[in-house]
Amino acid sequence: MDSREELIERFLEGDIRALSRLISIVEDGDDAPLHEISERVKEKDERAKCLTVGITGSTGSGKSTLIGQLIERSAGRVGVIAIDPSSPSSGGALLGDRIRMGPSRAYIRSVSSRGGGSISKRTYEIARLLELFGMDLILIETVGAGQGEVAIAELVDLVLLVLTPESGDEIQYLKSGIMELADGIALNKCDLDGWEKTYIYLRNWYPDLKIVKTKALEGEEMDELLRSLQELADELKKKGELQKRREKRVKKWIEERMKGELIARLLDERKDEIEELAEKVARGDLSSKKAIQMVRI
Amino acid sequence: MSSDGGAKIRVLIAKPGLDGHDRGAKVLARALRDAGMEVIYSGLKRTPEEIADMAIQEDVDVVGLSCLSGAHMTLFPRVVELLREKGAPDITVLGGGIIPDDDAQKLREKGITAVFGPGSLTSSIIELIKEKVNG
Repeated sequence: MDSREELIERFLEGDIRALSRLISIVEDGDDAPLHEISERVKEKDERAKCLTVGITGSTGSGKSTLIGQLIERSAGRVGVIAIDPSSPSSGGALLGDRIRMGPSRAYIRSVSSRGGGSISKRTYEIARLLELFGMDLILIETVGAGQGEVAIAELVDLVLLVLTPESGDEIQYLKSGIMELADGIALNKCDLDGWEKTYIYLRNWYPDLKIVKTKALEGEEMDELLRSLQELADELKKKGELQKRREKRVKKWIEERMKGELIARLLDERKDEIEELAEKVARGDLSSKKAIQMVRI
Repeated sequence: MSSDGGAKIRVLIAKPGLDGHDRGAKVLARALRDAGMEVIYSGLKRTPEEIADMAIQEDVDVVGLSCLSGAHMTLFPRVVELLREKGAPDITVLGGGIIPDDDAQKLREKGITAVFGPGSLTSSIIELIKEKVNG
């Protein structure tokens, strides 16, 4: 296989295979190439034009189909990160999102959550690579999510929630979690019975939220949805909110990074001490209370 | 190096051409998943071009082609050809379906690493993939 340096050179020349290989490397836990690239790309230009949208909603609500429609209608270069769950027993995964996105001109990457819940632990890094590659729009599809799946909001500029008719009574939409974090809602499958009721609930309780009635399979109201997303992004930009969200995202990433390094360093520095304590506690020569007092930083 | 469990074997299971029979493809996809692999399924009726592009975007180690329409002699070698043209000759291509022995031999000569007919064991396919990827 090609060397890192070669892959990075080819990435900078716009080679898709190099992008794909580097995503795998980053996904497997080594993010050094990402930082090498970020040094060399005129990042400011790339970031200014790229919009990242997280698309979440329950299993079968139509997220993938909707993404396929958005790809078809977007003018610029589109990158998709489609996350599906990994198996808790085998670690394997069946990644089936791209089937519904159809043959398309977008770059679509199927990603296993690898135990990371509704997103994968490397979603941030993969999105950064796509951004640096020069994508204008990045769509991140989460694992079919429930109410508590809010991690995506920390990774994107905008969150689009895909709901379907009869997906619960009024109370469901008043609960905490993803409803609070959504910037817009696509009420999909709007040809199913009961859509009026769901629409009215949402309208009543979230009058300020952008709600678009869609039929993704038929491609209906998809232009409207894309326009709404763009408008939302423009509004957030004007208010300075987009910049704030991006700052928060980077801050979170730096903190996670520092935590990781700090923990690894501490554990390494005090390895002998930890082993000694473990031995004593296990033998019964030392109480766990004393052990905890001794390991305080 | 990583705390994420390291590299995973990635496989694209693809259905080229006009063929609506994908029970076998789905059974195999699930078996590979249960063997700890990350499996991408292409869906039905894909062109060789679409399949080669998918394989590259997904950075797979192996492409498993399934064809029960009789068009395997046209479709399978075309995928191999396209992967070479697109700078990905290292991706292993396997074939499966109702494929006569004579054809299977010719397909192997054209760069299809192995051909699996009816009655093949998923365990032997898994073994072959692991051997190919891990050496």
